[in-house]
Amino acid sequence: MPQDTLKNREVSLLDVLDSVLDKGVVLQGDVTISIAGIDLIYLDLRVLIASVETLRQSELKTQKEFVSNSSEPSQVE
Amino acid sequence: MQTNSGAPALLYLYALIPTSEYEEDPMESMEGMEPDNNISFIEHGSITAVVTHVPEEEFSQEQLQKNVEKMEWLQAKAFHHHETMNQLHDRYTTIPLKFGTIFEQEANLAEMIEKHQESVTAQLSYLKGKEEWNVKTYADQQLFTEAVVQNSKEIQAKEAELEAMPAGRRFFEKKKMDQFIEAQADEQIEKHCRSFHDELTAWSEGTEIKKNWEKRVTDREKEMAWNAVYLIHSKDREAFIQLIEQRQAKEEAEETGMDLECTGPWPAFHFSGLTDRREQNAPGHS
Repeated sequence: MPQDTLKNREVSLLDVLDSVLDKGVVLQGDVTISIAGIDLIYLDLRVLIASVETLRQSELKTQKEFVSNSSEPSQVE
Repeated sequence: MQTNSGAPALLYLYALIPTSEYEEDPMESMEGMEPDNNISFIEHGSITAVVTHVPEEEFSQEQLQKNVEKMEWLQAKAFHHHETMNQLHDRYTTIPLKFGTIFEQEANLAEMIEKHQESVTAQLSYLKGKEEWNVKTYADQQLFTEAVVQNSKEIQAKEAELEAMPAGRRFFEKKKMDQFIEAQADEQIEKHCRSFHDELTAWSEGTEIKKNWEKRVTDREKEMAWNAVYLIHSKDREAFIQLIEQRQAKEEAEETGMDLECTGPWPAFHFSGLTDRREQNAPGHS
């Protein structure tokens, strides 16, 4: 629904990951992260699936809130 | 540079910006990845690197691998990366680096910038006044499937034929036909999306078609049918958005079942990098 999504920068974690993680690979089942522009680390699709589930559980909060919450134990696998 | 403890720190690179733009409009320091370590601007001639220190116990290659699998960690850090990039992109021409571009030492960063100076300088000049937009289209496959059947006398005739067949053969033939119909529908959807893509491309300096997200990722009823990014001149932003709004209105009026979504403005994530993107993503690069 464009009236909601055209608002600048109200983007989902998935959008962010799809852009800030390395190109497109998220959707092939592997996420690639480049370190020092040289080494590649491979993750798997779990990251993305888990992130979707996290999103469903709670509304997106602001980045600051996430930072303050991030000391809580993570529940991912 | 400040570090919050005596622990060894790595250098996290957010972006490269033109030194001239930074000097004209220097930024107040912002909070870095770690709240105690601010973002700093390191000048290398005409190129300025935007960096922060991060602790090795969290960002070493091995730790990073583990941490990105923790959703809360990844969410906080990826959003920080994204937010920082947006603030930079609001003020400066920006080459945004991917999440997790980390150097062990400042000397390595300097070396890297020197090595790619020509490409970085050229990119900064090219990217000036430009921004990236992401447009996704979701399609109602059922509608397209129905249209395929309705518009094909051949398929209708074949369907009548199927009715008369013995059950075993009918099952097999029907499966074959369903696959054919589905392929036709997919083709129509692709054609539909591509025609709009071409319209958007006419306003764009660069485009990249991305992978569609799977349904289990989007959790929507409709399939993602198109996912692409467009590099446009910032001055064309209104026109570009209007084009999308008009298209959405048209889709609704014609009841095509297509939903459009766009996000932006993004820094040019898909159209820039420290090195050429093809080079960076080449398989076996280690």
